[in-house]
Amino acid sequence: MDNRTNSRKINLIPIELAVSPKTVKLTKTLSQITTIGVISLFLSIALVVAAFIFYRLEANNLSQNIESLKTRITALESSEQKLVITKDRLNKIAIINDMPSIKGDIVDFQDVQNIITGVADSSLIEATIQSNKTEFSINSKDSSSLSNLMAPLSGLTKYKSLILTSLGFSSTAGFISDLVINKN
Amino acid sequence: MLTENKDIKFLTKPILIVFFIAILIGAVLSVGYNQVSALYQTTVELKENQLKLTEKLGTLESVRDILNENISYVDVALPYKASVLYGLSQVKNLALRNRIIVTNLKAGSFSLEDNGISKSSLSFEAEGLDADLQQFMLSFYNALPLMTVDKVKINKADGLSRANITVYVYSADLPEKIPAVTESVSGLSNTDIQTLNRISNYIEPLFFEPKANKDDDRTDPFTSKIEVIN
Repeated sequence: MDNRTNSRKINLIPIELAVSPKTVKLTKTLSQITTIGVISLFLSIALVVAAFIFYRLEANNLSQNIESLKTRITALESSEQKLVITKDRLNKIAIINDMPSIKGDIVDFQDVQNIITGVADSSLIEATIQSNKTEFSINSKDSSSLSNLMAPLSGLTKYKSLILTSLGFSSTAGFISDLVINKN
Repeated sequence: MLTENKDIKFLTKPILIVFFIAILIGAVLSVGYNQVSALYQTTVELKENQLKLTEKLGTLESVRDILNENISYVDVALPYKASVLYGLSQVKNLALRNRIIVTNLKAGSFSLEDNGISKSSLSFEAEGLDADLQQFMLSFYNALPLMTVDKVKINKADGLSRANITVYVYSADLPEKIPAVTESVSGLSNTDIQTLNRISNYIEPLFFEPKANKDDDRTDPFTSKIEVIN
């Protein structure tokens, strides 16, 4: 009983002006929240400022690096022009190399010429080499040389077809045969 | 009722302070986040640009030596001007190399192909031995500028071959623009380098840069002094 009396606080404020203990407690809580809030506010400001400074410095550093790189690249402008021209030329060279060509036909016709040269009394009169199609005329003195010529010619495997378009004979020249070879 | 008003009055100030601080924290975080976020985006973009430029610089530095060696070959392989001059000169050059006599050499039609490539035809008569003639025709595929044989008509007489040959000599316009400094460029692939090496072994033309005759040596016949011979 005495203890209770001792712990009782002395209230000098008039009763009509005194606030309830709950309100006092709530005020203390709000005060603590305010303290935490202020600390959080300063921490937030510090964090934001630190992040801003960090990224600003990084951005400045990157900008300087980029300017330096641009200067070095500009100094290599002639190399860049050469590279662009070279790439352009190489692309076009590749296109030209892919175009139809009679290079293979010229090489392959050498086989035909070798066969004609290898058969006695036979000779090439004329030949026209175009893309995938070669026409030629052969003179054979007699039927023996003609047959000796046709056997190896028909055995050529590089061509899709060998067509005898005409075969003529004259007593002075012998046999004249016109042939067409197609690759496709 | 009176007591409640007193409590409310008592609590108003701390509550307002808490709200004010909360609003401040919100504002700081919101504004700060926006600013930092924008700056972060800027640094990300700058980093990407830096990477692109570093790669571009590396590419340019790596191809500099290769290009310095081979650029003239590429220029002549596919000239943008005077391809017919190169072609006519090269026909004579190749004929000499292969012991072929060339006559009736003339330039024919000029036509535009796809992809900015143009071709001009050259026709001529060639005379020589079979093997030489074949080598001569094939040599066009290993010569600068790029040429292809379009059509060959061979006649044989007296142990010699005579051929009417039509070849095409190619040219192409130069690219109209080069990329901006910040734009990336691709370097040379292995195939490109192989092509460059192959081209550098092709038979070169007798000249690399066609030049007009200088008129300096010609005297002006109207203003020069006339020597009077006594």
